[in-house]
Amino acid sequence: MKKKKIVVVVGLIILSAIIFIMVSGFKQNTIYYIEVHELQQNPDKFTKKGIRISGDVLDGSVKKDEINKHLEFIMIDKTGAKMNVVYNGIIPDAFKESIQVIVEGKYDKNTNTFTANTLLAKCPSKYEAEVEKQK
Amino acid sequence: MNRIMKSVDTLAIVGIIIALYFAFIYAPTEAVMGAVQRIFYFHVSSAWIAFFAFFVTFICSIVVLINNNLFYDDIAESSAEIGVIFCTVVLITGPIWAKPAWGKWWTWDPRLTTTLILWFIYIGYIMLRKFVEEEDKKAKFAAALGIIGFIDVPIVFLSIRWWRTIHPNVLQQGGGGLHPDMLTALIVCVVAFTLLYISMLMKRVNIGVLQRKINLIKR
Repeated sequence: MKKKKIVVVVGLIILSAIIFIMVSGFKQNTIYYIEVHELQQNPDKFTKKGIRISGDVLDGSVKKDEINKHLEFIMIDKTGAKMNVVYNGIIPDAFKESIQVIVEGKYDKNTNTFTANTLLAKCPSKYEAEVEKQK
Repeated sequence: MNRIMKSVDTLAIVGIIIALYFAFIYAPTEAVMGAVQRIFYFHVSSAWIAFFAFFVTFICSIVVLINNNLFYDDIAESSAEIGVIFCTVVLITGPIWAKPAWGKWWTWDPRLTTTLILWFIYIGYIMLRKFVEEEDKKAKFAAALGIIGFIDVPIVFLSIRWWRTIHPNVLQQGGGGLHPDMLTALIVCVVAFTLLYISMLMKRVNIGVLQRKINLIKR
């Protein structure tokens, strides 16, 4: 029964994949992202690598250098807590001022600066027509 | 039966053509994301059909456990297979959309993670069926997994409300909502995909019934 053995092995791989995803996805960081004020209240708790922070891009704070792929902006959350974000890498098309973004990286509490290695743009959950907006 | 199948096939084909028109021409271009947002109509329709297909598997699994009628086992198996196809479509269209919209193909967000788990559960379901050979046992084991595995469907559905996530909530309670023409286009797409699902399900169940007959003759 060679076929059976293969099925058992592949089945075990799938089962362990499910368990791995569940454990790595939910145990280590039970929350997908935290907000700026939560980070600032307890910066030492989040000094581990790979934290995700969500917030808005403050209007007028963006310094963008497309050629060197360097980006700096101030992130502000709902409570008004702010932090500086430095990002080196490809800037998503959707990135612009006053949108919501999620950054992944490390936080330095002394300079209140977050060094991001990933920049994700959060999309609007309200879909509007292009033409109507121009009116 | 053959006649019904043919008319459903025709409806599905016509429906998909109409759906393409609604998704690409009728629906207005989204203001922030632009043309890429049109993938929404197929992404969401596929997700709904995947959920629905797994729901059919869930119900038929319960029926199998109650009355041992193997015809429902055929439906459960067929629906699970089709559900996996649509779940795969969701997992392919999602990253295609996420790359330009978010800036990354994939992120371990609750919605995305639970959807991937859902896909694995039903791949496991299909594999379990290949592993057990006795028909009675196969039907019972598969029914158990078909019922337990379904737990993940409401989790996937509600994940965007339960947890913090990057995945937008457009249609559910508390969601952002969408332009009325976009909603019309989405409804047309869901109807077309449902017809496609019914057409595929009838064919696949037919294969299952014939397979059972062949196995009986062989014995």
